Formats: sequence, C-alpha cells, structure tokens
Amino acid sequence: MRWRRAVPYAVGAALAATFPLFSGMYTQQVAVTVLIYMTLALSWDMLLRSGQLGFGTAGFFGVGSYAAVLLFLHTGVPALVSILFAGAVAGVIAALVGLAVLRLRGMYFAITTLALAGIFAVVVRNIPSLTGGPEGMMLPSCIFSGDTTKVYWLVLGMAVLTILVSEVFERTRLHFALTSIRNDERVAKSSGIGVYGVLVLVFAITSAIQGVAGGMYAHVFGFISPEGSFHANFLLLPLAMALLGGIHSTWGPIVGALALGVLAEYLKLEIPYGHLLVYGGIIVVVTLFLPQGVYGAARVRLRGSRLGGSR
Amino acid sequence: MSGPGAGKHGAPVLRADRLCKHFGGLVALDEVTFDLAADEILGIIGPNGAGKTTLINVVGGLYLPNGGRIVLAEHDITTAPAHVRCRLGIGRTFQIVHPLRDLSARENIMVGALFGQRRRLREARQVAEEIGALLGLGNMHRAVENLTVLEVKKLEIGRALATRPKVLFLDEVMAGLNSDETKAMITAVRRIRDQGVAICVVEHVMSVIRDLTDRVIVLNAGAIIAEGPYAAVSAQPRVVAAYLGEVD
Amino acid sequence: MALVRRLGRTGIFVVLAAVVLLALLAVWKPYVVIEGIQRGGLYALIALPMALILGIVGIINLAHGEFMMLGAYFAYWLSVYTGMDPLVAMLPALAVFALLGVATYLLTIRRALKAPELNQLLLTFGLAMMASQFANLMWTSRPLKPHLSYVYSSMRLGSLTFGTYAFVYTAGAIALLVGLLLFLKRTRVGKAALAVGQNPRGARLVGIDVNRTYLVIFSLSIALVGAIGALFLTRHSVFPSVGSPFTMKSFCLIAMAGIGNLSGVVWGGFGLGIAEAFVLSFRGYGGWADVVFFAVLVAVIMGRSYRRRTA
Repeated sequence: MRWRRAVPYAVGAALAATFPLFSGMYTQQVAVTVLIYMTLALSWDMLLRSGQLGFGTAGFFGVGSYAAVLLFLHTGVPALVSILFAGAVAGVIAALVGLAVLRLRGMYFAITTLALAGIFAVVVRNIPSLTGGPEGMMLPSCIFSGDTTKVYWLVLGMAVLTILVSEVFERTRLHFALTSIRNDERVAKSSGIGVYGVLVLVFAITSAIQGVAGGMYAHVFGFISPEGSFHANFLLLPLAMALLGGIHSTWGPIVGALALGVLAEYLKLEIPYGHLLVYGGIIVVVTLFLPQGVYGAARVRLRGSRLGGSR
Repeated sequence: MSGPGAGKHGAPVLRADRLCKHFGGLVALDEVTFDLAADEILGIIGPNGAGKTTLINVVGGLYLPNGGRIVLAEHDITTAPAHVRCRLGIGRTFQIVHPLRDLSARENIMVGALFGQRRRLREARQVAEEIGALLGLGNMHRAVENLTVLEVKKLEIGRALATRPKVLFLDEVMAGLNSDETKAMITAVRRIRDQGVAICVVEHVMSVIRDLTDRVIVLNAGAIIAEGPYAAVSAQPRVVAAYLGEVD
Repeated sequence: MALVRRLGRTGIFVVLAAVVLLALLAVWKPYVVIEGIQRGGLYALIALPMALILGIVGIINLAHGEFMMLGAYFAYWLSVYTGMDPLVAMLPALAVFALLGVATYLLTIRRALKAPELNQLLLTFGLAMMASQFANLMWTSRPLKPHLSYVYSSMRLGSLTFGTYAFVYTAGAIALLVGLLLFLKRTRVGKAALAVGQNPRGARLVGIDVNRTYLVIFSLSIALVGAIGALFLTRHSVFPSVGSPFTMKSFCLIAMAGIGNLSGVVWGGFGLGIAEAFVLSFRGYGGWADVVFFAVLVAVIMGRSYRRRTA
C-alpha cells in the first residue's frame, strides 16, 4: 500500500510541473513569490524541528541576495553560479555564528539571530564602495531576461530541492536526532547524540537554503538594497506560513505557504499597508490557540486513530 | 543471587578515582572512589541528597567533575562530553523518566541504537525489536503516552541498552512499582547482566538491593561511608545513622 | 568593603582596569565619556523593566521596544491635541500602559506561560510585529517629534561645552534602579515577586498568588516602559521601528549582567553607551556604532558557554 502514500506527491508534482501551461503571466509571478516564501518557510521549520527558534531568515536571505549580485557584477560568473555562491556564503556565516552562539541556545540564540538582519544591513550600508550603500544596486538585467516561465521553473526547482532536503530531515536518522534534541537534550546527549554539532550543521544548512532563495530573488527582481533585501517581510511571512500550516513537517509549511501566499495577494489589493499586521496576528493566534497549525492538527487526529491505546 | 563480594569478578571496566563535584559552596561529591567489574551488579545507596544522582550525572558526562578521574576500559573519559562517553560505553537512565514524546516506543529505543552504536536505520529497528522483546514491551508502535508506568521505565532502560553499553547506570528504576512489577524488573536486570553489561543500581528499595546486587557502596553527604556486600554494610552503625539520624 | 569581598580578586582587577580606561578616555576624548553616560543611561533605563519581567515572570518580552514606541506615540499625540509636555505625559502614560499591560497579560501572555519557551518567544515576536505594523499603518513611517526648547540646554565645564538635558536619562536610570530595588526588597508585593522569581512552585506553596504576581510585574513593566517612551520622545523622534533596536540592546545588557542582576544592567548600560560613543567619535566610522552591541552580545554568550563547559 506504499504507493498510495505517493499519490499526493505525484498529484502535486504534476500540477506544479504543468502549471505554466494553463496559467497567465500574473499567476506565474504570484507562484514565483509563493515558491520563494515556501522555501523560506520550509527552511525555518527544519531548524525548528531541532527545538531552536531562529529569527535569522531575513538576514540570511539578504546576505544571499547581496552575495549573488556582488559576485555577478564584480566577476561576471553565470547567474546560477552566483546563486549557489550565495548559499555557500550564507551557510558559512551561519556556521560561524552557530559555533559562537549555539552552546547557549534558547533565547540567546533566538535574539542573536533576530539581530542578524539589522547587523547585516548596517554592514552593507557602511561599505558603499562594495555594496552600493543605502541606495543599493540594480542589476543591468534580470535573470532569463525576465521570462516568467523560465523563472518559474528555476524557483520551482529550488522549492522541490528544499522539499527533498526537508524529507531527508524527516526520514533519515537526522529525524531521530532532531526530535530527540527537541524533546529532551539531556537524553539526547546521553544516548550518543552530539547536540552542538548537529545544531550547527542544521543551522548552516537551513541558512544556506535561505541564502540561495535570496540570491534567486535578487536575480529575479533585479535589485538589492539594505531596506529591501533584509526586510522583515522575509521573516514574518515564512513564520506565519509554517505556523499556520503546521510546524515540524514538510507538508505543513507547504500548505501554509499555498494558503497564505494566495491570501497575501488578496490582502495586498484590499489592505495595501496592513497585510503585515495580519501576518503578525496569525503568528499570535496560531501560537496561542492552534500550536500545531492546520495540517498538524489534522495529522494528530489521523495518528491517534493509527496508534491505538495500550493492548 | 548475590555473589560473595568484590574482586571475584575480574578486571574493572569502570574506575572512578577521587571524584569531586561542588556547586558553589555545596559539596555534592567528596573524593568518591570505586571500581566496577565487567559482570558485577553494584548497588549505590544512601539517604536523600547524598549525591547518588549527581554521581551518575558526573560519570555520565552531564556535569564535569571538579577533581578526580574517570576511566572506562582504558579510556580516560574525565573531560569527554556526554555523547562521546555514551559511544564509548556508558549508558544511563533518568530518575524522573524522560521518554521522547514525539517518538513511538520503538523509535525511542532506536535512538540509542542509532547514535550510541551508530547503526543504520534498518539495523536499529531490529535492535529495538530485540530489546523490546528482552524487556517484555509488547506492541512497540504505540505512542509514549499510551504506555504504563512500568513500560515507560522499561523503555528508559531499553533506550540506554540500545547504545550497547559496557556499564549501565539504573537510577531508581524500581520506584513506584508494585511487588510483581519489581520482580519482573529484577529478572530483566539480571538478564541484562548476563549479556555482559556491568550494572550500577541506585535504589531506595532495600529488598531489591539485597536480592540483586553483588556489593554495595553507601554515600552520605557526597562521601562513601561504607562498602561491601549488602548484608555486611546494612548492619554498620554509620550506615544506619546516615539513614535514621544519630542514635544517642 | 563588603563590595570588595563580593567582587573577588578578578572582579577588583576588572573594576580597576575599567576605572583607569575611563580616566584615560576622559582625558583623550571627554565627549565620549559624557555622551556615553547619557546614552548608557537611556539604555539602562529601557532595559530595567525588561530585566524585571525576565527575572520574575521568566519570559523575554520581544515586544518590549514596541511598547516603548507606543508610549512615545501616545505622548506625541497627547502633545499635539492637548499641548501636554511629554515629561508631564509620563504620568497618564503610566496609567494607560498599566492597563495595556494588564490586557496584554490576560489576553495573551497568561496562556503562553505554561507553553514551552519557544511559544512565548513566538508570541511576543508576533505582538511586536503587530505593534510596529499597526503604528506604520496608523501614522506612517515618518519620524515625529514635538519641539521642546529645554532639551537644548547645555553647559560649559572648562573647555568643554556639552548638552545637559540627556543626563535626565542617566538620572532616570539610577532612580528607577533604586526604586525597583526598594520595591523588591522592602514592599510585600516586591518580596513576593522576588520569591516567585526564584521558585514559583515554592512561592505558591507558601501562599503567594503567583498568577497575580505575574500580572502585577508584567503590567508594571509595561507601564514603566510606556512612560519611558514619553521621556524618550523629548529628545528623540518616534517612528514605527524605533523600538526594536532597544529590545535587542536591552537583552544584550541583561545577558551581560546575568538574569536577576538589576544593578549589573545599569553598569552594562553605561559600558555599552560609552563603547558606542567611542565608535561614533571616529569620523566616517559612526555607522558601525550599531554593531557594537551585537559584538558584545556574542562575546558574552561565548564567555558564558566557556564557563558552563568547565562547570
């Protein structure tokens, strides 16, 4: 019966792959944005599965944007190479920060990562010769000359890769390590898990993904700036998506991204300046009343019927 | 059946040499020294607050000692981190049981096999099933919240056992069990010893100590005040005074 | 002499070194010391209420800076509509924000207290985002400030001319520290709060109403920070994102001092203020001043992790 579980994946993949055939340019642009946020939501959730709350999403996203554009402009490597470079830069920075800070975890880690976006923005503003300073920089042209369909395929590829990584996190021994660390660190340590090492690794990997997303975003939209690239939007929306959809899972952030992504488009039209308020509200409401999110709550009900009581 | 005493069990697999641990001004362990042979069951007893759990935490690596040495089968593990000690062969349970709530019973035990022994997923599953059978755990797919108290305690032991320890510390595993369950647990512990694991049992239930252990060390206020077979130790006035207070 | 004993040998060495450094700095760059004490006073003043909540209720209020921002807006609109001086507005601010604190606690925080630390962080983060987005929506991002002539008062000391108004922050910080210490050590409510902070279960066992203590302390903290917002407005403009750097710098000070050490927060504030003023004194490098707290925070975390390793 294992093939039955593959059906939702197959349906989803088919829909995603054939999407440009039956949608217009505007819808594809929305899809591009949704897929980028989905990537961010998934990467945030992957770190959360270890029990660590990271607020660095916007920071590493911005780092990726800057790294990709600066490499591209200063050395002329292909855009795709610069995007991979962006991921590497973000990953290395995260590894360094993680090595310094992850021995203390908890709120120390959360606030350090919260400060990252601001710190990177300050750094960027203060080396204008390299980074274009407060005004930022524009690319002479967007990737693929702005061909929306090609951009869609690129971003879809990144999202699919991220989904794969998330599934690796769920189905390999890494799942056991992360869940143990999250549930009880002392037990994890006493069972042979090198907690510090695992956390630094996971932080580096998820931040690298965020860097790749940032690099891709910069090439797709063609500019970088301290306000734009590190905007709180890139932290707020992915968090709201993952929380709403259901944390600690692959499907949860996907569902949340689709739902909120569509809602976000609608909100931007109706309340152009208030939509971020709504995302904050979603975070508050979900944290208080529905900590497992929509998908998570459904999954618990399913799991309860599969794992019976004591026999 | 309790053996006649220390020294008849071969070379020590664990030596603790003058272990000291203090928290600020509070001395938790005061020059604690003992050996554990490879097929022994050693009991650690003492009144509340004597430092028994601290000793396990220090040997297990959750605390670093302020002085002294710990040697496990020729490895000096005094400053090694906890997970390294686990891989080298120290296993332990926790006094207040901490099953991993987001994993099933079988998955809990698999954690030990995956990271203590570094097995692959399929092998770890098998090890977990075997250990579950050894301990009598029944349906292993259940969520942790559906297990009875005895089963959760067995789960703790199972997870530690799955790391293939050379030395297993059991921290008050008999607490809260009725007499049938206690007998079942004693049988299980003996079966573990027969597989070649040296066991260190911290207990308050004296009948268990009497039936299960080969010898006993008595801790009071962080220091060892007596050592030897249970029958000999339990009669010593110092030991009685430690538990009951000074006798005029 | 009791202070000498408490510091220990390394403590005395550190203090002496600091005093020597400070004296050197006062001779070399006197404005750095002056401005440092003024800036540091502001940081300490803002950090103290956050330290109170963290020490007693045990949660990090990531919305701390946002409450200050709302307090500043409150004072601003009060001055626009009634002509009330922001200094005077501190009193109504205390009352209004006490109520706001009670409402926030009852509606949101109380539910999160039993939840894991992650949920509390997410909750206050969501509240922070809602507050700053709300302000952005209502009043745009334009900086606002009432014109007050007394903030430009200055004085001459030998060859130095410097502004004197900002010492009100320094005085305020010391006054608040003394007030809080007296409150915690001399009043019944305060002593109960200290007990709750050290051991909530034990406090409950001796009959202290823990929930009411949490409510009182939380509301007190919000009331204080709202009033501080009004004081802040006298010399600084208010805009929606003005609060968040203060949240993070406050946490930095608390990390430096250790949870529960209120006087350490004040010393740390002066230290940070002087360090930032020092960086600002170098022409062309002023933009880096906002990175100082981050470097301090990471250093503190690394120092603490090292100490914990050998514990």
